[in-house]
Amino acid sequence: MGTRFNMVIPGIESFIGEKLVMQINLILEREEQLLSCYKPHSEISKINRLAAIEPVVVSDQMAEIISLLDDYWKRTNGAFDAGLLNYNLLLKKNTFTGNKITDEIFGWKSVVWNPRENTISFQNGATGIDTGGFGKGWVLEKIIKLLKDNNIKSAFISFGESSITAIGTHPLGDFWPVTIAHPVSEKEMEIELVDASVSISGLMVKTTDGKADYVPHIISAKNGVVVKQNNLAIVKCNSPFEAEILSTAAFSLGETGIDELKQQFSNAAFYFLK
Amino acid sequence: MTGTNRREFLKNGLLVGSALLAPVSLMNVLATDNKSFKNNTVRLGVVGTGSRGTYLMELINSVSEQEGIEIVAVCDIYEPNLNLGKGLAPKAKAFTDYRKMLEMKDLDAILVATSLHQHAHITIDALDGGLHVFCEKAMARTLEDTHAMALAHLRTGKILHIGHQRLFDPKYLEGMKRIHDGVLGQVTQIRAYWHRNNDWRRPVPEDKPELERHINWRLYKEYSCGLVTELASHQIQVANWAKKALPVDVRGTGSISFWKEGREVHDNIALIYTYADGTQFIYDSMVQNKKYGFEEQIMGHLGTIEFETNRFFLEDPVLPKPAGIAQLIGNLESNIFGKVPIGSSSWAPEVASQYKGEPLVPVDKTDGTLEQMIGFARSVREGKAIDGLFEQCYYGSVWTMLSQEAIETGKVISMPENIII
Ligand SMILES: NC(=O)c1ccc[n+]([C@@H]2O[C@H](COP(=O)([O-])OP(=O)(O)OC[C@H]3O[C@@H](n4cnc5c(N)ncnc54)[C@H](O)[C@@H]3O)[C@@H](O)[C@H]2O)c1
Repeated sequence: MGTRFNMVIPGIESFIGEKLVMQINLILEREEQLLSCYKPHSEISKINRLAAIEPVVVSDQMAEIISLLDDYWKRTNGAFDAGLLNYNLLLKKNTFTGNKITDEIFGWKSVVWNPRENTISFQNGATGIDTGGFGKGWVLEKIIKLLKDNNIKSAFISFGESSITAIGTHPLGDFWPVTIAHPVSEKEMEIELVDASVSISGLMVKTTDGKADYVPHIISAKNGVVVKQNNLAIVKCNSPFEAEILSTAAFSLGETGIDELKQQFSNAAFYFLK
Repeated sequence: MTGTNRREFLKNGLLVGSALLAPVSLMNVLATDNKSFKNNTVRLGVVGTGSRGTYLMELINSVSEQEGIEIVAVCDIYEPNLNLGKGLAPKAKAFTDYRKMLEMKDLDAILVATSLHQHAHITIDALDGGLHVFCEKAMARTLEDTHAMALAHLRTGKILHIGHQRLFDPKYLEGMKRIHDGVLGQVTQIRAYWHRNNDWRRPVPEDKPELERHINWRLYKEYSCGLVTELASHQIQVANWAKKALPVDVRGTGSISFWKEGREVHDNIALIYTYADGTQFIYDSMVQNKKYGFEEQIMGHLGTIEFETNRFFLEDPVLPKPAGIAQLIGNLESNIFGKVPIGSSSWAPEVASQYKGEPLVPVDKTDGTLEQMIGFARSVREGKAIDGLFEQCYYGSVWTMLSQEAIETGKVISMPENIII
């Protein structure tokens, strides 16, 4: 997934820990084969190359994911859009001069998903599935299941520092205490996690030389404009997958536009940090 | 400062010369524009065209045009090496007797890169003959010879440079500035070492076994003190420079512990120097293990410098906050219910949490030898020595000799007053 995976399991026997590390590595490798946009032979890369040419039959795993993406696109009223891969690439390469989608071809609306046949096709070559807004959460779901199957009662996981999952509680307290800081303003907020996940979406990153920089990767579903705000959108809920999707959606809607989203997902807590 | 004052100053362990030898003055020497001297070539003779001598010649050749330096004479008593010298300076006159070379007209200065025991009389003869001299370190094989060289320099007023190239190395200049500006805080301990793993021998032609002592002069007491004069001398000079002072005393031991093949000098030495302010300088050198290489570690209460590797460390560096997970683990290990910070330091690539210090100078591409050659030639052209430079080197060599005495006698050795200049 091109990022760092950190996990802390307090008080675990080392041989059990080592076994889990091996199994987690296998999960990470397997899911990368499914979801990594950076690996040309991953299933997602194959879909992104071929689906505009012909319907592509996908694996059961991928079918499950695509159904979920479709579902969340609808439930978030389009605020979560996993179909913007190429648009994001254009932005990153700076070859796209404007910052508005003038051509109405980008995005999930151009995805044709047939759940009965397990086939996917794109109505145009500009569409592609970007796993950046849900992939880590998806993998975390698998890892939580592995840990629970192994009877792990307490663990803390940070996936790229933007997807955080806590199992059980901190061994010395009733929850896992987490401080989230804005990378530029350094304002902080505290969150308590018990069997819950947090996802953080934001454009600002602090580069290694200490300067702030925008990483344009979220586009407003309302008007197709690249979201350039200093806010972090933070979502806490039970599922890391859903947390990641909702923080992406909340970020693209902005602090003032998330009322409907909050109602629709009343089990999740939404925060913004400037 | 009057003569008596100066002696008192030195007896108290403070190095007068180094007060003048601020690193900035050396930097200025190298920074000045040299164009105006284009028509005034410095004419050099090289005595001893062995390994070091030819290396110095190569360096000089590389800047001879831009710096206006010409090697006009070479001299060596060993023909194969003289030929090497001739090869590097085809137009130069070749000699086998340095005294003949000193009679040459139009010679401005000589470089002495012979075996150690030959340094003194060649240098003194040249100074007395009105020439400036660059002589390789250590100055001489004995304390008396070292002193005699200094007296000849003072008597004639001619420049005498000693081959302590670290004095011209940008990373040392930068590091010394930081030390003297107090960036390291109070320096109370210095550690230095030089470790190699080889027999330190040069091959002797099979048909000429009688050349053994001439070629492997480093291994015989008549010509050298081995590790002390050949390696430690550099680091003794660095320690004194860092302290801006001379030790009060030195104690030491040495042994032939590994290379028991007929050499006379130690292959394993250890020395401890004490300075008036209580600083200890701990030194060791050997030739049977190379893992630690060589280094001078200057340790103050606020920071550390490792000169040879161009590193500077603060005791309490301002570090980027460790990744949240690292803090969590630290807290768990100390039984602390601490918050896990997320996102504050860097989300993008997480920075290495281990502090590895920082370089003293961004690019470390010289050991100062070339700069020293240039500095010497410029001094010769101006007929003016760099203030304090000779004293640095002289007392470095003096303490090199005293170190050898400490090892040989097993006694605690201090500097005799009569050799103070
Ligand atoms: N500054 C440094 O880092 C550094 C490094 C290496 C060597 N050195 C010094 O350089 C000097 C030479 O070392 P080297 O490794 O080149 O030794 P070497 O044996 O390779 O060269 C010495 C040369 O001097 C010649 N010689 C001896 N007596 C002579 C005389 N009376 N007249 C003319 N030539 C004479 C020898 O024949 C030989 O060619 C030593 O003092 C050594 O400590 C300094």
